[in-house]
Amino acid sequence: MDQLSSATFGIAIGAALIYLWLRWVAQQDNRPALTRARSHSFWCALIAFFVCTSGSAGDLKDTVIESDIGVAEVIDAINPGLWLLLIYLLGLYSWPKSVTAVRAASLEPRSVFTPVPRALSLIAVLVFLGSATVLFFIRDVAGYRAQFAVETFDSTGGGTIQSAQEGLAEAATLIPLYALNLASLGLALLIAAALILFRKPLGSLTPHDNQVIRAVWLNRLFRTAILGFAAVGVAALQYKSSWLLNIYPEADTYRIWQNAGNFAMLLIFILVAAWAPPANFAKNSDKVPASAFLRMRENLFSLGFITTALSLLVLALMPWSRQSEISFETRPGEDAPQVMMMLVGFAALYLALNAGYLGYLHHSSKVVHHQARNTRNLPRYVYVLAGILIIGSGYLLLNPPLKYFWGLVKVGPAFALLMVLAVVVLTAGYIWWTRRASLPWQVSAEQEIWYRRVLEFRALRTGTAAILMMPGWGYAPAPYLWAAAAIAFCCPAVIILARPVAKVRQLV
Amino acid sequence: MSQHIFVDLNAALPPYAQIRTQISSLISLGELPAGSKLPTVRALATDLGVASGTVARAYKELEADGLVTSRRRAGTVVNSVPATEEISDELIETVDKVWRLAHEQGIDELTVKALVQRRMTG
Repeated sequence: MDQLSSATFGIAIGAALIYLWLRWVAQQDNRPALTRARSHSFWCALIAFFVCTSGSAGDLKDTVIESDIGVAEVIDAINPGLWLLLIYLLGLYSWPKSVTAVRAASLEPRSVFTPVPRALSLIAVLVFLGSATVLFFIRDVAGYRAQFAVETFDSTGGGTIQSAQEGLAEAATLIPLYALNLASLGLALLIAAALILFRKPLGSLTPHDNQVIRAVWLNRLFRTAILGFAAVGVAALQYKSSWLLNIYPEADTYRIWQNAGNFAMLLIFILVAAWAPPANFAKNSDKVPASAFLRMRENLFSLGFITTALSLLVLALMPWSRQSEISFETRPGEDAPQVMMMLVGFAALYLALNAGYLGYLHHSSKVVHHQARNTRNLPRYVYVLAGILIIGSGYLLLNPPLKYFWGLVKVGPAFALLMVLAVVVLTAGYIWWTRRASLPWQVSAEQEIWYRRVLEFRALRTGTAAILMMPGWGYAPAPYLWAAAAIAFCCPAVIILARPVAKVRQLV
Repeated sequence: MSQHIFVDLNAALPPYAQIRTQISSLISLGELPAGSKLPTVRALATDLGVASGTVARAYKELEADGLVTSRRRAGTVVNSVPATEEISDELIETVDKVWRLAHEQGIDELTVKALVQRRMTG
């Protein structure tokens, strides 16, 4: 009961804070209603994504050691579904209620279910069924008991040491929890979708924009739910893989389950990330954004997405990245050189892909080679912050605070510095190139500076994240470093750099 | 470009009658041609922020007037109605004059509509 009340208290505090934030976003009076509605929907979806995916289904197998299921395990299982529903409820009821007595509606033929994205809902059903099928295939996992470290001595003074091993719950215990996790997510999706479809239109928006906003909400809800469904299936595959590794350590059978999970998750993630919500809002009838800037912006987003996805895909396919995940026999830090080289390779690939594309742009804009380039540094604090993170990470590489680990293998200082320096030099080289390359678009100086600065910022965050991951992945799993690297890598440029306003052409 | 209808909750005319009158006018003026489909009761009610029964009553009265037909599968479809009498130039000019006058006096579209509706109900 204590666990239940503390979980309820945590949810209440979290919900209150999220409600306040969403309410603040929805009520910024200095912005047009449509901008506020889009921003409000975006924040709600972002919070739902992070909250829903932070309590991963993969943690269930670590929390359940004994065969009996308690309140804590049930709370863990329903957590993602509960949060998904809660965030969308908060989102839907944090928009200021319309007080206007005059309401408008279009007579366009439609039903309440018209805004539902058909293809996405089909994918959601398929992923849900796929994950449910995986639960059927893990039913034979018998689990194993936890083992404590045992040291035995014989009469001659010689001894043997049996190393400690964490236990794994049997399938009969875990399958109901995975099923509960999946079912709660499915139920949350259905309830939240119904609430979005049947809620009253948002005040101050036209009927058309209200319909599009509904479609946007549903698109993001389905994408988050698809990731949640996939996470359950992948967690079940990893669970079976852990069991197979324990009973047949020599055989490669476990790899099949592990790789199937990794690739499925990667594919679904790419698919979901690429599925942008609709944006066919009613445009201002008298204003049209300049097409050159729009093309440049679209190009920037596509470039970022494709190069990041390709680099992550190559990273996932590298043999060392898969091997190191469940390697119990190596000593801490023994794999660090390979991991560090892999991270340098990842950063180098990302930078090379971007630099290559910039080279293509430079080549295709020969006419403007003679023109001066418009460039400007990023805000100084960005460089300072990146420098602090890089130096801090370098220090941890040379002096890992992990001496209590038996047999920690430290990386040689020269090698560590070489790896860090390699990333720094590659990033600096790329930044130099972003400031030199010609761009083919006829845009204003401010827009050109913005484009170059976004590329520079992306390079800086990739390099910093790669260096941050070196001690975190190389020595021992360090959640704080992983989180810092993930935050650095995912930090959107829009937080640092204000997007320039597109020049508009007046239509007479 | 799809047609829009409005509901004023403060108007003297009840919401179902406002919906019925506006759809009926659009059909009579040919803005909603025969065969065109109307949104479902629930969709229109959700967008207008009124109860489903309100829209259902409006549709039912339109059906009773022979302006629309509701079928389970096809939804609510506009019937072909006899051609309306030719609107005289004099009437159009008068309406234009009223519209211009309202604009000059800063009276909005809904108030003008409410004035016309009051005349109908009176």
